[in-house]
Formats: sequence, C-alpha cells, structure tokens
Amino acid sequence: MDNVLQSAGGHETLLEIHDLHVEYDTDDAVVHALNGFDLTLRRGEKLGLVGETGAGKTTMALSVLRLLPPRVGKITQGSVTYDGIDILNASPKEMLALRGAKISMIFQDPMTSLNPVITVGDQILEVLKLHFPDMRREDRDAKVDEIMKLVGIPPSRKGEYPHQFSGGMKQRIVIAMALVSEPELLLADEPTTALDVTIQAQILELMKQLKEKFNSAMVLITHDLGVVAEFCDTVAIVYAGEVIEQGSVEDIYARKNNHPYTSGLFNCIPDLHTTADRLEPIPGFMADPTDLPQGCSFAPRCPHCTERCLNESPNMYLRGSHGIKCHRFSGEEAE
Amino acid sequence: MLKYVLKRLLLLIPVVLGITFIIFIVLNLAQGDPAVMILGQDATAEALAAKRAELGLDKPLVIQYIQYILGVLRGDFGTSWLGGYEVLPEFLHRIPYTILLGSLSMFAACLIGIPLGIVAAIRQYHFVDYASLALALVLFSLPSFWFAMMGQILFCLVLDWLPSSGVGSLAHFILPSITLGANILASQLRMTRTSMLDVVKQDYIRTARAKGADERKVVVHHVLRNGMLPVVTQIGISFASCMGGSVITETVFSIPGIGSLLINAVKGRDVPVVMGTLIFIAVFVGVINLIVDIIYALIDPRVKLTA
Amino acid sequence: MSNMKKPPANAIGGRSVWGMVWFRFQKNKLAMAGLFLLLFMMAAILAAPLYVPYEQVVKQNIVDKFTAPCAQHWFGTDQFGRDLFARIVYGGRISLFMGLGVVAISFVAGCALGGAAGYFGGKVDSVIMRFVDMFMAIPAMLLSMAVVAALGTGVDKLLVALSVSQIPRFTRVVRSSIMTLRNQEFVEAAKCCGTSSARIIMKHILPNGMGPVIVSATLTLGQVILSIASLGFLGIGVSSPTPEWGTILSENKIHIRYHPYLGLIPGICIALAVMAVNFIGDGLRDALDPRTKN
Repeated sequence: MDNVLQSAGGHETLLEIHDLHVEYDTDDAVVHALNGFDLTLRRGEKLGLVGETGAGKTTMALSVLRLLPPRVGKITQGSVTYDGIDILNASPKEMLALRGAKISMIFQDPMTSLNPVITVGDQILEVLKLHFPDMRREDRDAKVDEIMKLVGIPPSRKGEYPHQFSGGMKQRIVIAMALVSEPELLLADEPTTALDVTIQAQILELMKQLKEKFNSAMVLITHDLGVVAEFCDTVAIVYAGEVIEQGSVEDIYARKNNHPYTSGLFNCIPDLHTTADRLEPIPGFMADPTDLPQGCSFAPRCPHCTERCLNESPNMYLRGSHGIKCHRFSGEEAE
Repeated sequence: MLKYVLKRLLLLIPVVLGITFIIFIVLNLAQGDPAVMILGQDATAEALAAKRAELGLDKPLVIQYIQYILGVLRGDFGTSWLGGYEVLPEFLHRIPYTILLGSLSMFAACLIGIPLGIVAAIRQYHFVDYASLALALVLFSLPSFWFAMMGQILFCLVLDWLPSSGVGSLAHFILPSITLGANILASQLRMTRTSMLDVVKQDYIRTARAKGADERKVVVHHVLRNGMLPVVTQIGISFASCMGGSVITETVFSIPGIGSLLINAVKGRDVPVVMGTLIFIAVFVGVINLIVDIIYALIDPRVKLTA
Repeated sequence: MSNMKKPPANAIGGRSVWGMVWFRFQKNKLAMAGLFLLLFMMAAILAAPLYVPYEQVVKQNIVDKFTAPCAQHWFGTDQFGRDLFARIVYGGRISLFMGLGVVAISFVAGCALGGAAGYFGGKVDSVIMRFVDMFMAIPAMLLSMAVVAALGTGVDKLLVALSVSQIPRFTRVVRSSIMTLRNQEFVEAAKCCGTSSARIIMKHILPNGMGPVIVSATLTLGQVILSIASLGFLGIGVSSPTPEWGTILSENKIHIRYHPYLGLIPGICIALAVMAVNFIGDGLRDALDPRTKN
C-alpha cells in the first residue's frame, strides 16, 4: 500500500458504506434493493463486487454518487462516507464537486450512456470544463487528445458523434470520460456486459493497462468471478442487497471457507480441470426484493439451511480479512 | 443539401398533382350544373352551352384537369365561377394576411408553449407543472373558433382593448393569432413536456449528472437539445393544422385571407377557387415540412439528408 | 422492514394482456373520471327521449326568449325561446356519436389499409402509402371542407368528409405498428412453426400492434368532435334545425355578448366531451406502455 495517503487530508479509508438501506418505490410494490449493505474501500484498492442481476450492485454505486432515480429510489437508513465526507448529508454543491472529479462512474451500456447529439470530444471536454474551469483552453484540448490516445481512439475522431462509433469504441469513450479528471474512485458498473465477447476482452485489457497508469481506487461491478480474479485485490459478494462475503481475492478463491452462495457461484463456472459431467446450478430463484424472507435471505436456497437461518439474520463473521455472513461460521469467529 | 431540397420539391409535384386530381374529379362529379350556378335558372339553353364551352366543361374530365394544370403552370388559375374575378391576383392579394396570421400564431404558440413545457418538465409534480397541464388541457379541449368568439366578445366588445375585426393594424392580429394558436400552444406544451421527461430518463442524462454537471447545465446542454427533436417535428405538423384553422379564424375576425376565400368557395362550389386554394396550401405545407426536416437534420447528427 | 407495504403480490400475474391494461387503467383516477364522464354523457344523450321530448328542440316560444338557466330551462333558452338543454342533448347525437362513427370507420379502414401495407410491404405498401401521402398533403380540416364542397352538407356526407381526412392518419399508425412487429422474433418464431399468414396477423400481430392504434383512435375522437363543431360553426356541417353543438354556437353568436350562457354552455359541453376522451386516451397510453409513466 505505498500509494496511500498522498492527497492532502486524504483518509486511508476512501469509501465506507455502513448499513445502507435503499428502497425503490414503484407503483406496484416497494423494492428493497439494499438491505444493510456494508463496504469499506481503501485508497487505491481494486474491489470486485460480484452478484446476480438485481442483487443491488448498481444501486450501491448510484447511492454513492447520490444519483438514485429521484422520487423512486430512496435511501432509508445507513451512511456513506467518502474521504471523511458524509455523502448522504453533503450539500448539492459538495456532491457536484465530487461527481466526475473525485468519483467517476463507467456505466453498463455504452450504447445509451453517451449523448447522441454532442460530439464525443465535447463530451470528454465537458468534464474538464466542469471541474477545471481555470485550465487553459489549449491544455484542455491537449488533455482530451491525450486521454483519447490512451483509450485507443485517434484524437482526430473527436469531432464525431457517438452513432459513428462501434459499441466497443463507445465504451472506450465512456472510460476516457471517467478517467480524464483522474478520479480517486472509479465505479465501473459491468463495463463489458453489453459488449461482444471479443470486444469484452479488449476493453478488459485496456482497463488493466489503465489500472497501472492511474492510482484510482476502483469498484468493479460484475457477475463474472473470472474477471475479478485477474483484476482485483479484494472481493465482495452481494446477495439480495447485502454483502454476504468479503475478503482478499486469495481468501475467496482459495475455496476453503465460503458462504454457501459463493460456493454455489463457483460451482456454476465450467472448469477444464475437473471432470464434472454437469454444472451445479444454485437451486431456486434470487430472493424477491419486494418480499424478502425473514432471517438469512439466502436460506430458502441454501443446502445447509437450519431453523436458525430461517428466523435470524446472520452477522458478518470475520476471520482476519475474510468475512462471511452465515451462521455456519459463527463458531469460528473467536479465532 | 441542394440536391436534397430539389429532390424533395420534385417529389412534391406528384403528390400535389395526385391530390388535386382526386379533388378535381370529386368536385366535378358533384351534382349541379356549374353553368346554371353561374348564369342562374333563367338562362337560355344557348347561353348555358356557350358558358360550358367557355369553361371547358364539355370536354372529358381528364382533359379538363390537364388543361387546368397546364393553365396553372402558366400562372393562370382560372376565373372564379361565382365572383368572376381571376383567382391568381385575388390570391396574391390575400396570401400575405394568411401567412402573417399563420406565422404569428405559430410564433405565439411556440414562444409560450415550448418554454412552459420546459418549465413544467423541470418542475414536474410542482404547481407550475399542474397549472401548465391544466392550461394545455383547456386549450386542447375547445375549438379555436370558441376562443375566437369569446375573446372577441370579451376583449373587443366588452373591454374594448382590441379591434374586433379587419386588418388595419398589427393590433388587429393579436387576438386572431392567439386564438388560432391556442390548440397549437397546447400541443407544443404537452409535446415539449413529454419529450423532456422522456429525455431526462435516458442513460446519458445520468452520465451527465455523474460527470458533475449541475441541474442547469444538465438541462441546457443535454436535455434541451435532445428534447427539442420531437418538438421540431410537431411544429411542422402544427403548421398544417394552423392552415386548416385559419379558415375559421379568418371568418370570425373578417380577415380577407385565403381561408375566408375558401369557405365561401366551398359553400358555393366554386371549383377554380377551391382548387387553387388547395394547390397553394399543399405546396405551402410541403415546403414547411421540408424546412422542418432540414432543421431537424441540423440538430440531430444522426439524421442525414440523403438525396 | 416489518411495516413494509405489502405489495399486491402477483396482482399483475395471471391476467391476459388486456386484463393487465384494464388493471393499470382503472388505477388511473383521471382516466376513470374521463371514462365515467363519457359514459354518462353518452347515456344522457341516448336516453334523451325519455326525459325531453324532441319537439322541445324546435318549439319556438318567443315570449320566453333569452331566459337565463333556471329550473324550467336548465340551460336557458335562445333567441327563439327554444330550450337550450333539449337542443344540446339532442345535438349530442351528432357531436358525440358522429364522432364515434367517424373514428370507427377510419379505424376499420385504416387497419385494413395500414395492415395490408405493413404486412405485405413491397408494391402494396408503396401504392397505399402514395395515396396516404397525397391525402396527408392537405390539412385534415381543409380536406373535409373540400369533400363537403363536392358532396354537399348533411349528416351522412359529413361522416364521409371527416372519415376521408382521418383514414390516412390511421393507415400510417397501423402500418408503422405492424412494421415494427413484423420483424420481431416471436413473429419469426411463428413463421418458423409454419403458421399461416392470416393466423399470424390475427393471433400475433394484431393483439400486439393494436395498442398505439387504439390510443390514437381515442385521441382522434377528441379532434373529430372539435372538427364537427368547427364545420357546424362555419355552416357547412349539419344544417339547422338539426342542432349540433357548433351550430348552436354559430346561430347564437351575435347574442352571446349579452347572454353569455349561450356561448359558455355549448362550449363547456364540447370541452367536457373532448376532455373525457383525452383523459381516456392518455390513460390507455400509460396503461399500454407502463414505461411512459413516471
């Protein structure tokens, strides 16, 4: 951790989310998207946030930026602290200064994330105009050129519009937009899901290079355990709006002690080295966020479910850096 | 660009020819002998025959139509059956009033409707929003002649603020343009609001917010330009309905434009005048739509004007 | 978490498409208000002979002229002492039901033409759409007027005149709706199963493509009611003594200044009918396409 504590007043802990509850109030039902979400991120740390669609990963990222859909998405409980700033009580002005400058986000679908009527150059430039109003014009333009080169797009194309680019190229532009201000925290929301497999590999390769160049901390949201293994220092597994397991990549991927859900996820991955005839899918469906079970939310699908699991939510049981939210590990905590 | 414009104008020709041909046939199939209509019941058989020959009515319909169109191309729109005046000079005399009335009402409608729609969208669920929607609802639910009539009574007769009819000054056009623009204002307002609200929900607006743009910048730089696209299309459509509505407004306020000419021609089945008016309006609406499409292509880089 | 609102679990599941639309529609207060208002007006108009004799419409009673609304004459009387309430209630038969007739005719014709153009494409499509372009070149109001000029005035002729100007619009809406569906996977899937064209149209395309068409039909109804009134006002719609709301306004126009109810009451009737229809149309649009709701 040598890249820690460089910025003035910088806290070692960059992002701390504590007991976060978020609800979406739709016409038909109240969706409980986050239910006591806890997460800690150190400066420069690359964290993989893994979970199924609908587990609340994107909601967590939007909560940090306070960009939940107005009137529908509500933070009902908990706290988010970014570098000592209480995000949930920050003034709109403070938030504007954070968004895009200190915290950037890469959105899932590059097809819809770019404004169709503004040139890509201007969209990247906008970030600089917003956050570096004193920067000289030529410097800004030079910076745009530089970041475009970095993400592999010829700067000569900056006068073109998003529809003139392919999906992979658009995602490169989205990445350029997120990185041009050299943020301290990058929230990458499934940056490759919407792309073709070959393009996915290119974008991941690009992100790996950029990871070395920029010291940003990063939350990589994905449902791909493989990507996390190559990319991240730490992992948090999300289920039904909670982090149910967290630890270093080594902790989780050792596959010695895992939350039953995490084990289920591993069993879903085809493996060339084992000779299993068929994959073992996790039985049942993801918990209905409009109607969550009492007790452990994974209990209805869990092969090790007990009476206690059905009635009592488990705490996070920590063993070193490795934490598991499961009653099965309650005895081992003392260690 | 020039090629595109020329092509569009050329494409307008068959459309105008087609619709005028259909109307020409239908008008001529209608019962009643025009010669009798012009000369009256007491005219002698010879006089009637001579009149028919003069109007070319003794020839087959298709020939009549071709002769009519050839005349139009030479600038001869024929002579009114009822008034005996030449159609083209009468037109040239009246067109400025209709165009002035139409443009003023479009201008008024857009100037009020679009900003109100924007404000309503930005302040969704607030008082301004509800008030604008209520206004749009009322303006949308009453015929424009009703506003014209009631406005005339209130502002011209009772309060005596504005002249009630005629075209003496610009003041004469205030009430006609507002009442003619009322329905258009309502549809502009609703269209703007809906479109803005739709754009606000797009992912790229969330991207703009994530960049740290404040609300004003998000609206001005990102929402407005995208949100205006459907509104521009709507302006084109509104212009057509404005031409239709001007018939009524010109009648109520005694404005000597094309509309009041048409309504009398329709009542008296004055074929040359009806035909001439419709040709003019079809071409006018076509040109307006062309201009709207060009403007659209200027705002939306995704649209290419391909000839 | 304990006081969490119990969602209407599976409230939507297990319903047919139209059941779902109705489920969402009836939750929309404005739309339901519009529906009840429209049904009420239609019932009042249809049942008119039960409570107002038709002769009231034409019976002149000069002594009672310009009576303001009172217990005996709910809506007052006009310059000839005719009962305005009777005239409006009977006039609604034209204003409202002719509107419905126009929309019904244009709907059926538009579905046939637009359906053929959209489904078969190619030559059929270009021929039909060329005609649509021609008719769309002239504003609806003026096209109706031209047809009236050719046919003359009268209820049946007005019906034709207004339908002619609406059919092209319906054709366009139906065509574009069909075109988007035609290439979708479930239609492809049906084709792969060897389903016949007729069955694909009836079973797969129509039920899915009708949404926008029905919404557009409802909103068109409002416009048609306004057009009928406008043509009546210009004196080229239905001629007196058959009263129609626009005609009633037209025949009273010089007296409105001193007897404002003569202008306000027919105006309010038109506005209520159009509003009711528009509320229903907006409600249907939201119910059919939940995404547009906020």
